[in-house]
Amino acid sequence: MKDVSLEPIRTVAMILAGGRVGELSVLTMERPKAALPFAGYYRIIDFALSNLMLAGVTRVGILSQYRPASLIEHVGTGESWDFVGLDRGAKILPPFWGGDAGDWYQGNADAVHQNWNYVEDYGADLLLVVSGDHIYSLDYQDIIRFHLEREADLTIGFKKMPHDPHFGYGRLDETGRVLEYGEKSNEPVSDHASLTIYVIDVKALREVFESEDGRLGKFLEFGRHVIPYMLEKYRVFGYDFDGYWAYTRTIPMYYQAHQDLISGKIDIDAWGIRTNLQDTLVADQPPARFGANAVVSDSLISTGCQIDGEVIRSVLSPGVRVERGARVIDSILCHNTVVGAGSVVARTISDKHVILGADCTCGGDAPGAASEGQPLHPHGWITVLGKKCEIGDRTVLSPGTSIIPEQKVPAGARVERRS
Amino acid sequence: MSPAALDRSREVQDLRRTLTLILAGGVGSRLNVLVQRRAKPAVPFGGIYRIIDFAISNAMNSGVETVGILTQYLPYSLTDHIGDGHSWGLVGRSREARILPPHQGTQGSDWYKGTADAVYRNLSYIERHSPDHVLVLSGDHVYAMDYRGMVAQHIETQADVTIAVRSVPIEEASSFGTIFVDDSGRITGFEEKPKNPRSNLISMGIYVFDTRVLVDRLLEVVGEKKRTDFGHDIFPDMLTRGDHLSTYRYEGYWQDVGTIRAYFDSHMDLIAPDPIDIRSWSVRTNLDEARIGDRPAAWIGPNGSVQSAIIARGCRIDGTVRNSILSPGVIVEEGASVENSILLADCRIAAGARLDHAILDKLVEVGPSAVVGGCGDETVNERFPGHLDTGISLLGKGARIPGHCTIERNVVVFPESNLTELGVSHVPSGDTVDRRKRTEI
Repeated sequence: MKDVSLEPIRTVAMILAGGRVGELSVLTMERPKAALPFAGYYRIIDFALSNLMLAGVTRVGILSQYRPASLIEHVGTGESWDFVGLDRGAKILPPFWGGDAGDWYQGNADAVHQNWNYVEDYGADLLLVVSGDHIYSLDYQDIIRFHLEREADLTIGFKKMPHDPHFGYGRLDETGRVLEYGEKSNEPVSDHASLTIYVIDVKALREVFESEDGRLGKFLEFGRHVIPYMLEKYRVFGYDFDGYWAYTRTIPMYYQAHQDLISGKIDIDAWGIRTNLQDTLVADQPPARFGANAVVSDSLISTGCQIDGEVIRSVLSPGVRVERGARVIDSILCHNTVVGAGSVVARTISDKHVILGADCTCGGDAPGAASEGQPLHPHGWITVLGKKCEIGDRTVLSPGTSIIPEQKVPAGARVERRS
Repeated sequence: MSPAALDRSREVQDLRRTLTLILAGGVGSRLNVLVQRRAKPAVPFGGIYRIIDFAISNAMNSGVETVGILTQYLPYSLTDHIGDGHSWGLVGRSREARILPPHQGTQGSDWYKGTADAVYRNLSYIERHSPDHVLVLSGDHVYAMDYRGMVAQHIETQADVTIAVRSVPIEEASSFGTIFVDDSGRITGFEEKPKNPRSNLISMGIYVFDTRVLVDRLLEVVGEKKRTDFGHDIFPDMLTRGDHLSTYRYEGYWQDVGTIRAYFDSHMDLIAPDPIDIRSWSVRTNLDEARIGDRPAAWIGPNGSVQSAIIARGCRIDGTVRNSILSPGVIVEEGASVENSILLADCRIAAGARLDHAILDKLVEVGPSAVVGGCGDETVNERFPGHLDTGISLLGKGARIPGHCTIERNVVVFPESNLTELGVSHVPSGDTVDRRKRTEI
């Protein structure tokens, strides 16, 4: 292996933060999934941003084209992750218009291609592409070192996972060389699933984009187009990651990640995850106050919460109020949600600024408690309340209901889940 | 424009032309080991704040744009805390928050000798900003006051100075400057800390001056007569010469947290059945400091039980917490119990330990099954009888209490005292543990 200890390496990172996925229901109607709130104070993209910060990769482009306002606000100047300074920076790179390059992004590779100037202008040797909606802690210097030692042109981060048609899978030899790769297929070539973490030699990728296929605009997706092409002509390796990793593509996955947070599998503090401190929904809040009748266990409670009821196995973002006699069980309540007196909220995700009146029943276990081993319904019978919706007193929202943002549900209503 | 809107717009202008000076030089020695390494205004309060945050946030919420903070005692923690002022929006072309330490100059250099002297030595700062009015605040008090009403009244009454006052039970008035007024609220007399108070109206240490009057009086009383204090010297002098001294009544929540007892009691006010609502006060603090902003949500474990409590970010609680205030990063392990206590940042309470009526400065470690407070007799602290006489025990920053150790009431443990190394396993009521010497066991 090559000794790489003295190589001066300039790495530029691109975070893929474009996507809105329909399976996240009302939560992504107004934001890309990378901007989903997580763990009280954070947004999912904080994991990618913080991992980059901790690895010392300080030049970051964020590729986003779906409703980027909340991301732009969140990333700000990038100072929360130390991305401010000479040679540093975190920039949102939206699609643009004009010239040959500009257009809506046709895929993640196309998005990188359209912003190739951002890579070249920095004089980068390596391009690190990561996804903005994955939850994990990885020192990217480990994978960069792996890449350099093997003199690879492309290194893909893999993790052994059971088959899921949404992932690409690669077959590796004992040196880590990728022999075969299949994207989103029903018959995976191995159990090594791609984590959409790519370390790419900039010269090699420039060649790829400047090739005939590149000029014909055939490289839209890394998984479908770039990797198969590079496998034939370049040195492609796979890096094995065996830490915790989660993906929040669906409501049940988002929900499960929060359960992992409560059980300690996700350790925000130990992982060094940071978020934007200037968020006024947070900065103006006093610490959480627990009333004389509070009953709280197995939960995460943020700044500004006021708990006068019961909270079990739940995650509460800043400013959530649980009034007297209310019960919150197995739920995720985002900023400033109010649970009125006497209401029972179970297996529910509420977006920001949701107001639930008194004596409501919201969510709960699926009818006949979905039998073990059955594939989860896309919503997993989890109830989802869209941003700023208002639920009147004594309303019953059955398990699996979704309320769209800003909807007002009148008092005493009964809302059944649409099958 | 409606008259009300016109008034508001005038008030905004008035406050923009008002320079605010916060007197933050206080030692606050009665807070004992809490002020051994920080000035009183920098003493943590309410989980994430420092005492000075209340004055700065009030200024911010009142629309003040320029704040000078006069400090001289252990200023590092304050300098770090104020930073560039951005936590209070005091950054920009016309906005600033600036620490004003004592400095040497042509008129002879020296430490600030009193409240008026501190302002006198910063006359050039006042002149540079040439405000219409100067608002003088104390950085020692916990309260939420909108200064706009006070400045508006000051302008309306055409007073030379307006002093904020409040009424207190007459028996408490002896520890304040008391004030006598006529029916119009005009001041007719003062008595500083009288033994037998005849007025229950006290000064809150909040003054609005006409800039010209302030400068003239400081030049004469401090500059020439070498008198140094607003309460003792400036106001009586102004009264004698026939200046118009007016009062502004304020009866909302206000606490001088200058004693351990008051510090404890005002914390308990935050978690009382009808608590003071800091949320509605819009108090801000510097979240960059002590990594407050980087800490995750508080974790309450499967065995956790938390009632009547304030819990800051980064706490991890698997034991019992009642009637207590926990600052960021406090760990309460399984089976430990914390009652009627105030724990500053990053304390660790090991399994089975019990705390009752205890104040722990930052980074205190209490070992397994140790007991702090709530036991033993009522002996007041022998070395600091005026500081610890209500049953509260006080553990200084970084103190280490070994497992199974018992610390009784009214005890002081000095910062960085390691009771494991000192071989102390029992500290009786009223005792003080100073790491430099071993106390009687």
